[in-house]
Amino acid sequence: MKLMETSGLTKRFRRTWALRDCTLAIPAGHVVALVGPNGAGKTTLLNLAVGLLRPTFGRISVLGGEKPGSVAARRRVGFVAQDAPLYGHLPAGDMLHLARNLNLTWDEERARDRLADLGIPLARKVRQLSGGQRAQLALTVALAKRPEVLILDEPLASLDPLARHDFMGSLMAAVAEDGLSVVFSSHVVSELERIADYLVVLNEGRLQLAGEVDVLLGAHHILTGPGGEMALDSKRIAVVQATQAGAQAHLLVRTSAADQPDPPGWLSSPATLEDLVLAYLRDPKASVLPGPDLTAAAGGQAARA
Amino acid sequence: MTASAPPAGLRGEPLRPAGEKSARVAWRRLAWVTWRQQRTALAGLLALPAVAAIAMAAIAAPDYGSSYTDDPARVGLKSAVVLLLQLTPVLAGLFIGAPLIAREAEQGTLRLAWTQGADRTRWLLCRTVPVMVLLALAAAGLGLELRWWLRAGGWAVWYAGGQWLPQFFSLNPLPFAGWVTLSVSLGLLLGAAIRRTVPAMAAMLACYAALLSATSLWWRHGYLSPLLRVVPHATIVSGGGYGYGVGFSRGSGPGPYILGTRLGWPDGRPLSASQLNHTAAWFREHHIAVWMTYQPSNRYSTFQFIEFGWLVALSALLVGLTVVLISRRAA
Repeated sequence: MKLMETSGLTKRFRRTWALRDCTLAIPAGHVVALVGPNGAGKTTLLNLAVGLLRPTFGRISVLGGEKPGSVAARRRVGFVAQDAPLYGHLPAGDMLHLARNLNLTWDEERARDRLADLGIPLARKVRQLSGGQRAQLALTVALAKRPEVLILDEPLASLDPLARHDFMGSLMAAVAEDGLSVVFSSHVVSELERIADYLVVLNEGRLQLAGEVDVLLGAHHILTGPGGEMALDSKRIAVVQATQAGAQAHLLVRTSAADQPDPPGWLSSPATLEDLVLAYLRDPKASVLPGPDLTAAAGGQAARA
Repeated sequence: MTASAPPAGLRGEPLRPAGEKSARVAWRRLAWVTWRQQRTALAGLLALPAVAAIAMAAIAAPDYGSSYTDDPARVGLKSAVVLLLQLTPVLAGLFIGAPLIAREAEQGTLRLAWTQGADRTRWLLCRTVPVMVLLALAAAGLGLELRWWLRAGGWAVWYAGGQWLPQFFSLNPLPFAGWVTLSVSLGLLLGAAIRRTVPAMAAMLACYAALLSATSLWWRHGYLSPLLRVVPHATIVSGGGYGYGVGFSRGSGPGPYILGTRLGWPDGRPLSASQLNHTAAWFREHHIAVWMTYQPSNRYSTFQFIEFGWLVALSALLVGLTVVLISRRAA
């Protein structure tokens, strides 16, 4: 089953193209990080996935063909929008009760246990909670309907490092407990490896990179070697990013096979996810267009468009 | 990776035909949501007319029956009560209707509400219809109380036609209920369209005022074609001044609503300006009569039904438009 499948997905707001021709297929069972700078189209993509927006062109479906926003999809998808909107004037307990009354499935006991574990008093008004507590409450609301996929828009953006750590901890515990899939957007690129096992990079409204983290890391290396003439086999190696530091060049390259030998004169070292994301984001034109199945396409269709 | 339009077949179609017949969130669950979210606003809103209701119950209306020179404090009270009641529909539109969607849009909570299990149409209907019905019932009750209060003070006897005055006509139970309903639905639609509370409130106020004025000044007169009466024995003085006495049977009910009178020839032609300067004898000689158009008193309740009817129909239309708007629009 595909967690999310898009084809030629395009969204235009008046004169701005928020998302252009995005074709993507994410298999279920992943924790997907949707990464990109501000204005890259992350929120647009997620709002399309939960039916809050409709595509200008193209198609999108979630959870094996459900139309976003349909009754079935809303039942199976948990969503926490950017800034975790909640009714601030309600006490946390009433907020839960309200969400319960807006849903068909609801696990009240679990929700209350979670809030008790987190030390969030039910009687306290939502607007009096700390940012971290609000985020946790929003997560609790989203989890209480026992979704199959949880979609989180910038869940970490407004959290301090400690709250961020706690939030990710709760999220990972829920993932382990329920086996649910997660899609979350973030413009924070550090710490992603710890959380996500699938990466989607959006930049300027276009899909730049998508694939399982392991596969992506296996296909990318940092080569350190002499600058100037680069006698690299461009058929086998695509340079994503080159930095020249004195006599040395650092290249982030994508190779067609994971275990090929280093080119002569170059020293290969593994790239971190952060290196990789940053390299792609710096060059919006660099892209891997994997098509639906990235494991097959990871090394192919290298593009330095 | 081109931005050009894909083939027409791809335009926003669902990947799967929408054939779900899944269970829907029960009305009574949504009713709780409505109650929890709007009880404060409702209580605040109903406080004002409640003051008016208590004042009417506690203090007798000014006694117009016996004299014009009643206690000024009580005359002032009547004006205050009428003003409070007049304000009720406006405040309902401003503080219940306009923020209903606009505030949620501003605070981002629409993105929460619209991604839960309940669909938007149900969510909206459940949040508006019970509130509108409640307010309409409250308005009707207040309208009845006002009618009783003014009658007890001899209002109808003192000035029967006064019940057609715009400020009193619209406070009859049915029109009052209608205006409250309209005001809420107007605020609702504008809030859904504008998505910002304060501008939606301003727009609501402007539209409501325009509609109420147009109704009072022009439309209400013509719900049914006015009747014409020729008053032959008018007391006519030269220079266009005239007086007349017409025996309308009115009892304790409202008098007729006189829309206009003019001097005319027996065949209905109006007098020219120069003819108005003739002597009274000339008027008598030529059988000049007063031509009067009016709405008879027995239409008073019919007019209330008509006003209620179109206001409720318009409200239903506005709620329907809001449903269409929010089911098409993004959050």
